[in-house]
Amino acid sequence: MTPGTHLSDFEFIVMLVLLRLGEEAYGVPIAREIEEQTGREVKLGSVYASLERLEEKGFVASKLGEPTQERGGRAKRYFHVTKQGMHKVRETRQALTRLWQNIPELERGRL
Amino acid sequence: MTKANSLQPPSVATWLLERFSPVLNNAPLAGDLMEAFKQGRSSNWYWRQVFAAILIALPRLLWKQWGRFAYAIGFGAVISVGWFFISPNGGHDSALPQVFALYAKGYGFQWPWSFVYQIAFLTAFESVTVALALGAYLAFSRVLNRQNLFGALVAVVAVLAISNVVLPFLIAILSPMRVGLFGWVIVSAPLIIALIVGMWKASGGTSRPLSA
Repeated sequence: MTPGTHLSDFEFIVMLVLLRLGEEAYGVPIAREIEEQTGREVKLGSVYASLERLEEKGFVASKLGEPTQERGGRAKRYFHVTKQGMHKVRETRQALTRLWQNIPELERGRL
Repeated sequence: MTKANSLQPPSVATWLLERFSPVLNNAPLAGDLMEAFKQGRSSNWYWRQVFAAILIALPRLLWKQWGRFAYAIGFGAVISVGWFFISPNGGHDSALPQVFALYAKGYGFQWPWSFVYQIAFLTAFESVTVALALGAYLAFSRVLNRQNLFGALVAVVAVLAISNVVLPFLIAILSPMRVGLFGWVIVSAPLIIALIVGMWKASGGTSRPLSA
């Protein structure tokens, strides 16, 4: 594994949510989707910190939208997963799928 | 589904967010919080998010701007040690008696003018030292914008003036507690904060490095 390209659990969740939301992926819907899917309250600051790290790693890119009155004249920042990011998501999914296999306790339904 | 909120978010929290979002370089986050509040989030939620946003971003800001912070702390240390030799303290004479004599003139005035004079003198003296440190930093960074520089100097004077008003009361409260090193931190903190604010303002109010 290349140093600095590891995905944390939360970063992986954020990337999956970006893929689910498509072109409408900015702070508010990203946080809402994570809350709905995981059932835990999400801090928007944590979402932005993760997105910033993902952008530094080259897995995510962003662009600014138009400022709106509802947002106190501030623009939305839209995020999308890059080609490199897609590759990383697939790689992580394959690794997790491999880890899920051949666990007798899970197969017998003990856990 | 949450009910739309026609009220404005808590003004103090918004004020904090507006002050910090440019420092943290994250205006879209501030916009998101406002939008989510108007979509029905509570004031408590808004407060929690504002504090979390600031607390989460500050370590990253420190990490990214460690050069500026290290420079400001080093400057604060040098100046506070220098101040110890200028003011006649701890049984030694002042290394610059003329400067202290000028400061001591304030004792001859009636209150509150004695206080005003000494605050003004200290603020002017400290502003000159911070301005010199700021100038050295800008010369090294090769960035000079007259408008930003003016704003930076105004901010430096404001930070120092406010801290010089507050500091005597703080020292009076803390001096019986033998605060030691913490006392040194209290004395040098205004200089450090003023220089950090000055560097930030001089670079156009962004947390991005000057060279970027």
